[in-house]
Amino acid sequence: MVTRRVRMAFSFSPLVPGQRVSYDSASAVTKQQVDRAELERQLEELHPTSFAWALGCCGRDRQDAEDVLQETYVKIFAGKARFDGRSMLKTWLFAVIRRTAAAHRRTLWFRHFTFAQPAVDAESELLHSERTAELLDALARIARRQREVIELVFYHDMTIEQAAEVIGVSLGTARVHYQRGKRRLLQELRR
Amino acid sequence: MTDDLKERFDELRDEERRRVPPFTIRRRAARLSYRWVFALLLVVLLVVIRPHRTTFSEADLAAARSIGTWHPPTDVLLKGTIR
Repeated sequence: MVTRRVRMAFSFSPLVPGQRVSYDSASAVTKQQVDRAELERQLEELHPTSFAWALGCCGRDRQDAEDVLQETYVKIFAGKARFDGRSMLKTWLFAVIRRTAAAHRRTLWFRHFTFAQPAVDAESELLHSERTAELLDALARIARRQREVIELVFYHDMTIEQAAEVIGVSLGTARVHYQRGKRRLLQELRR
Repeated sequence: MTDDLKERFDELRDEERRRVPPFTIRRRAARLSYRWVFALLLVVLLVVIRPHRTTFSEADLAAARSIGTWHPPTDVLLKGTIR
């Protein structure tokens, strides 16, 4: 994939939460630029956890997760995904990552035909201990929705309500996915 | 059991946090979108398989008729041999 690395440059230091900024007409710094800088700072802060969620959405494939996360960031900075403040930034970002990963999966078959398969990352194979490899195997055997809710709750410390927001289902449905997913996961781990 | 699950997920998180790629925002340099590739293929297919209709001018038809009615002058030599 041909990529050009462009670091978005901003001519001022990032804001700290609660800092007040005045936007006068004489100032070269517009409100939009400040919003972008603030958003970039918050995305950078959430980056490790976003990457972990992207990994979960891409079946632990690091290359796919990196691609999905980049696509998400580009989508956000291109204005294709906008945060309207109705939920937490983290839940909104996770929902965008999830949708981007779903779109990415839909084009997988096409990429398999057109591009050479990347070599298996031996380093990532060695990354997990036996115990966590067991957990990942068990996770891979449960239904996607259940896995997503379980990961959001146990890995990302979200409430079931926040998990419901991320995957776009009602709270009741998320609760059912959580209960069933937990039961299935424990069954798989006991095997 | 829930505590065991939580512990396992904490371990997984610790392992994965060690190898997080740096935060960068890359812009794709004019990457060919799959949608565009499909659109292009569709156009090519439509051009290739669309029904063809050819029209002939009067001169073309006259030329075709004259070719159809032409007999080689050596045919007379064959008349006596082929029955």
